[in-house]
Amino acid sequence: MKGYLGEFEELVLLTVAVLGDDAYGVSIKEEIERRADRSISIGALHSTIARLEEKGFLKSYLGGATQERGGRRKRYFQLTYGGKSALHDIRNLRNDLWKKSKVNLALDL
Amino acid sequence: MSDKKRINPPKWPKRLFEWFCNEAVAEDLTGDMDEIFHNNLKKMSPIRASLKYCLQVLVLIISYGVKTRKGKYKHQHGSASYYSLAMYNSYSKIAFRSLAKQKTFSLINIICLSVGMSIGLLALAAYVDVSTVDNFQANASKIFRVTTQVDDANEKITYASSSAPLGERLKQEATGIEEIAQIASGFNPEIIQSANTVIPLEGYYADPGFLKIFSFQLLEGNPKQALAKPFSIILTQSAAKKLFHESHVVGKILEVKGLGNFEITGIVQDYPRSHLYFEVIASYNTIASLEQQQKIQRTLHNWGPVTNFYTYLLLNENKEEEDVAAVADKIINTQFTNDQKLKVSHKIQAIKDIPMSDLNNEIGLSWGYVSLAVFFFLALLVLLPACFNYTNIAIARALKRAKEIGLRKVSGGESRHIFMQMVMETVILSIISLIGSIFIFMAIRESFLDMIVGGARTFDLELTPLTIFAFFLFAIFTGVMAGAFPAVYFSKLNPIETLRNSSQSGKLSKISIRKGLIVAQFALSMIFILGVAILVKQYRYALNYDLGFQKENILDISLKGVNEKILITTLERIPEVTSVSLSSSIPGNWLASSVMVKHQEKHDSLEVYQMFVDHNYINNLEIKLIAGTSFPENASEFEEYIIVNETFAKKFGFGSPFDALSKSVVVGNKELRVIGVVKDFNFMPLQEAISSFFFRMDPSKFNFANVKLKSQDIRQTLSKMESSWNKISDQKFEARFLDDELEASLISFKSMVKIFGFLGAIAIVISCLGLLAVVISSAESRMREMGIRKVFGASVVNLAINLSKTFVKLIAVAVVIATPVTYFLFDQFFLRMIFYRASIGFMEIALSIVLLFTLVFIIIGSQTLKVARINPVETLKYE
Repeated sequence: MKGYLGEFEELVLLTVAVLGDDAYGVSIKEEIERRADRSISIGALHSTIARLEEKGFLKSYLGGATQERGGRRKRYFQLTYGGKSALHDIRNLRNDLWKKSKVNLALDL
Repeated sequence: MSDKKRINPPKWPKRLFEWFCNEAVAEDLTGDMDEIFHNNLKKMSPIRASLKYCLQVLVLIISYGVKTRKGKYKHQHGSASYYSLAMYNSYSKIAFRSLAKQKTFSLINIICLSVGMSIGLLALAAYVDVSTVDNFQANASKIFRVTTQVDDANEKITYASSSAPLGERLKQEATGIEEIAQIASGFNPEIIQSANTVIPLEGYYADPGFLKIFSFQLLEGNPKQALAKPFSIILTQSAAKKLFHESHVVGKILEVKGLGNFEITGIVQDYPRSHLYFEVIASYNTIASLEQQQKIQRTLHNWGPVTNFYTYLLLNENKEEEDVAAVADKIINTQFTNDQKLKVSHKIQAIKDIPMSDLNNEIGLSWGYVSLAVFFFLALLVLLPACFNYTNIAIARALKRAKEIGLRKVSGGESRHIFMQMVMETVILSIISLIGSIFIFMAIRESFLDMIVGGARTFDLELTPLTIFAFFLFAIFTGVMAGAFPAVYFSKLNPIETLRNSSQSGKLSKISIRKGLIVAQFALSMIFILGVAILVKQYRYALNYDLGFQKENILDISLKGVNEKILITTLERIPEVTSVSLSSSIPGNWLASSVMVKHQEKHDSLEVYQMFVDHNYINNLEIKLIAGTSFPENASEFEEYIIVNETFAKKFGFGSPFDALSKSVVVGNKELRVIGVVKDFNFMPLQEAISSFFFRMDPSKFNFANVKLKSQDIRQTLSKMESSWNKISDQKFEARFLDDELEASLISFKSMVKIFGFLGAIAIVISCLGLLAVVISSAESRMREMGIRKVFGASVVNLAINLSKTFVKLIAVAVVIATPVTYFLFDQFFLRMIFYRASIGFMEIALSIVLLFTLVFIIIGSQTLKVARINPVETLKYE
C-alpha cells in the first residue's frame, strides 16, 4: 500500500506545501493547529513525518545555525515529486467521488 | 524580555532525551521543543510549560519518528556501536607499543600486579574449591541434612548434627522422604596390623542409606549389603592400600583395638572433595552391638546429646523442605518438654549450602563463610597497593602521553574512546601479569596449605578450567580497577592545553592524588610491619608468661586405662624421675571442664572449672599453696575435700584464704569441704581471665601421669620409660612435655604471625616498587633543574636531599597516620580477645618505623643520588 495516504498525512503534506520554504517542526505544528483547530503533539507530528519520509513523499535538509534555539539547526521539509503526485492522486480520487455522488452534497437546503 | 530569556526548559529531561537519541540525530527535535517551550512561556506559567516539555520528551521518546531516525543513524559516526573490531585492534597495538616503550615502568607494574594478584588467586581458587565441593553427588539437588538449633536462653547454637533417634521417627512420620542416612561420627579405629604396629584411620558409622543417597562408588562389594550387618566395614581405596598395599581385600578381617573384629565388605573408590571425610565406614548397627557389649557409651537411644549423630535425607523431587522440618520440629518438641528454658528446633539444609555455613560440630571438613570473607578482604588489601602503583605511575607518566591524547581528540576521538583505550591498556597489562601471578600462585600454594590447619584436606587449589576462567575474570577486574582512574583522567584532558608547547600545566601532575596514594600504600605497609611486631611480642610474652605452675621438665603420660598405682611404682624406679602425680587434664589448654557449684547459704550456683588430681599434684607442679594443705595421701573412697583458688574464695565470699578453710560447698549431690587455697594460676590459656577453679580428688577420673624429670639425656630417659611402660601395658606409650603442649596451644597465634608477615612482606614489596617508579619518573622530569642547580654550585648531597624531601615527607605522614590506627586496631579489637597480654610498647613502634624508613631511604637514595651525580653537561647540552 505504498501510495496510500492517511488523512493526517495529507494534512501534513499540504501544510508543508502551504509553508513553502519555512516548513519545519514547530511551524508545521502551529500551522495545523491554527487552521484545523486541533492540538497535535510533536511526537505524533514527527512520527507522521518519518512515515512520509519513508514513503518518499517528503525530503528534509538541515538549515543553517542561527542564534535562536540555542544555535540548534532547524530541519526543513520539502515535498518531493512523489509527494506531489500522491496529493494529486488523492485529489483526483476525491473529485471523482464528488462528481459521481448520487446524493446532492450541496449544503444549501 | 531578558527575564524570559533566563527561563530554560528543565535540564534533565533534555539530557535524557539527548542521551536517548544520541545528540546528533535529535538536534532539530530539541530545537523544536525549545521553541515550543518558549512559545508556551508566553501563554502559560513556567511550571506548566516545563510539565508540557517533559510530556513532549516522553511522547517523542516512544514515538515512531525517533525510532526510525535511530535506526537510520545506527551505522554512522557517534552511536554506541561505533566501537568496531578494527578499533579494538588498534587499541591493543598501541597498548603493546606503549608498554614496550617504557620498559622499566611496565616491568614494575607487571611485577607489582603479579604479586598483588597472587593472593587474590589463592582466595579465588579457595572459593572455587569450596563452591565445587560435593559436585559429584548425582542426587545433589535432593539431598538435605537435618540441623539442630539449641536455644538455651543464653545463646543460640546451630549444630550440623541431630539426635540419634530422629532419623527413625522421621522415616515413620514424615512423607516425601525417599531415603534416610544416619551417620555417627567418632569412628576412628586403630587397626592392629601386628603386635607393635597400629594404623589409625578416620571415618563414620553409617547405615545402608548412606550408599544410596551419596554417590560414593563401590569398586568391590555389594552396595546393598555392605553396611547391612554389624561389624561390617568398608574402606576407601587409599585406606586399603595403606593397610594391605592392594585393594582386593573384600572378605578380610580387620582387628580394631578396643572394639573387636570387623569384616571388610566393600571398597569405595577414592572420591573428589566432599564435606564428608572418611577413610573407613562401619555399619551403623555396629553401634548397637558395641553398646550391648559396653565397649562404648550408650547414646543411641538418647534424644539429649545432639553432637554425635547426623541425619541426611533424600527427598522426593517435589517435596518442600519446610514440611519435613516442621515434622522434625514436632517430634523434637515432644522430647524436651521438661526444661522451659531450652528450645530445640530443626531446620533442613541443602547439601550445596553446607560448605559455606558456619555450623557447630560439622561432620567432616568445614570452610565457612566468615573465614573466606576475611581471606578475600586480605587479598584485596594486598591488591590495592598494586593498583595504586599503576595509577601513580600512569599519572606520573601523563606528560608523555598527553600529546598523544590531545592529537587523538583533535582528530575526532571522543572521551569515551580515550577511556576505552586506556582501560584496555591496563587490562592487557593485568592479563600479562596474570601469567606471572599464576606462577607465584603455584609456588606459594604449598606453603599456604601448610599455614592453615588441615589445609591439604580442605583445599586442592588445583588449576582447573573453572579456576582459570575465574582468574581471567579477576585479571580483567583488576585491570579495570587499576585503570579506571587514569583513564578518566586522560579522557578529560583538554586537547588545546596538551598541544600547547608549554604543557607543564599544574593540572597535569595531579600531585595531590599521587601523594594520597603513596601515603595510603605506606600506611598499609606500616600497619603490617607494626602488626607483625605486636604479634611477635605477644607470642613471646605468652611463651614466657609465668602461668603459676611449673611447666619445664614435666612429662604428661596418657594413662590409657593402666592401673595408676602400678605405673607410679614402675616409673619411680627410673632414677631420672623425681616425682609423679596424677591428674584428669592438662592445665593451660582449652579443655578444662566445669561444673555448677552451689553455695551453702546462698541459693544461686556458679560455674566453676575443675580438675581431678592426686595428693602429689600441687607439690609436683609447684603450685603455690597459700592456706591449708594438699589432699591427704590415703584418700577415703568418698570424695570429701576440695582445694580452691583465690578467685573461688573471693567469688564465694569466704573472705581471706584462711577463713575459706573448712567451709563447704555443694557439687552435684556431694558436700565438699575446702582444705586448701592455692594462689591463682592460669589453668586456661592466656586469652581467658582466671576464674573460679577447684581441685578435686577422684581416682576414677585420672587420665594423665605427670612425671617430673631431672635428666641430662632426655631421649634415653624417654626410651627407658617406654620400655617400662611396655611391660605393664600393650597400648602405645604416649607422652608429651607440658611446655610443648602449651606451645602447641599457641599454634593459631603462630600461623597468624606467619600469614600476617607474609602478606605484610608482599604489601611492602609492592609499595616500595611503586615508590621506586615514582621517584624515577619525578627525578627524570627534574633532570634539567638539577643540572642548573649543579652548575650554580649545589653539591650532590644537596641535590639528593632536594629530590627526596617530598617523598620522605609523604612516608612520614603515612607513619603518623598508620601508627595510631594500628595501635587502636590491635589494642581495641585484637588484643581485647586476650586477657593477659603484652602492652604495645615504644620499642615495637620505634623498630617498625626505623625498618620502614631504612627501606624508603634505600629506594629514594639510590635513585636521587644517581640523578644528582649526572654531569650537568649531559642534561643541559641541548639547551
